[in-house]
Amino acid sequence: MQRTMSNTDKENLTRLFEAFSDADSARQAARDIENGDKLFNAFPAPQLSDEAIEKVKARVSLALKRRRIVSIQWKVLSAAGVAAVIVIGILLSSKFTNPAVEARRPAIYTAGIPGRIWEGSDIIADDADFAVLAAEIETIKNTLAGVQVSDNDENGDSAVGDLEMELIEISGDIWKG
Amino acid sequence: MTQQDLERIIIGCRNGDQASFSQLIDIYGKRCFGYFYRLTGNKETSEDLLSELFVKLVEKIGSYRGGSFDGWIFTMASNIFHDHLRFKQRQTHLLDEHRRRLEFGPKVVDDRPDNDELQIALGQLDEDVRELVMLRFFSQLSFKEISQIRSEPIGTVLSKVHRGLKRLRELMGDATNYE
Repeated sequence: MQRTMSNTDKENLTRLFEAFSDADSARQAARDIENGDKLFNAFPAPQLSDEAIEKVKARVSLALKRRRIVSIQWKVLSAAGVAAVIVIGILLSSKFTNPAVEARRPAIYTAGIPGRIWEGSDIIADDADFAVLAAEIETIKNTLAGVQVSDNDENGDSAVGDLEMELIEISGDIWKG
Repeated sequence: MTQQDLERIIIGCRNGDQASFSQLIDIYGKRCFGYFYRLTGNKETSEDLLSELFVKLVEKIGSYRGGSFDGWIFTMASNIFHDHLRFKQRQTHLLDEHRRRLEFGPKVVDDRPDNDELQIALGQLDEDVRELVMLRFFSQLSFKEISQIRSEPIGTVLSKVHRGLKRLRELMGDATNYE
């Protein structure tokens, strides 16, 4: 094999050896190395036949086809993986945003109460709903007082029944919103 | 061939271009075959190892991160040769056991190399020294590059190659009077 200009040729062997031995020994070692290169040039390895080269190229061609198939399989698998992640994401997000599911979740009710009610000093004046509720509570309070007064009256049972009915109605209104 | 040509071919190989691989085989095939041949002394084995090298190259070309391509490819060649050695040692061990059991003759596998004088002399060098000498000649790498890919101090590499070449000349005697 005849060698072309390479990194081997570019290095200064004598200088390399001088780092480890005296100048004379370094020159001799460098000559020995150069003679070694000549020895290999004088006894070349057998030539690689064209047939062998073609065989190598055929194997490389097969390996390339395999690589392409693997690459396509990998892309399909990646796409399937991404699709699966998207589907799972959609399922999870629909689960958490669905009102029916939302209703089953423990609610943080304070978040639903307007900030002004927390901050205001006069709740009744701030919120009309609370004003209505407060009025109803007041009515119930009066009715209850009336029931207590007429506890021994003949009409006592009927007043208690009215009160219960009213409480059920209010409770229904509250839950309906 | 310029460095730019080689870089263009490597880019082609990375993109899976068959023609670029073909060019790479034309450039490195003979040198790598010579390296394997001088280490194994067997043509068929060397051709197999060469095929293995280039198939591995198809798989690994994406991991080449610049620098000396010669160094990169010969490091891979060296690894493939070591794998082959390990496999051969395992095989020999198993065959020896089998032979002992069956009381076979002294040698089952005829793995004689296609010898020339240099090959016979090379066979008498230490394995490590022989590989360094081969790497030096066939890879055309500098001693500094060889010391880097072998992870050995440059002084050690210089000393081993020098000692190996001197020993070769001693072993070959008159055959080296070609100058």
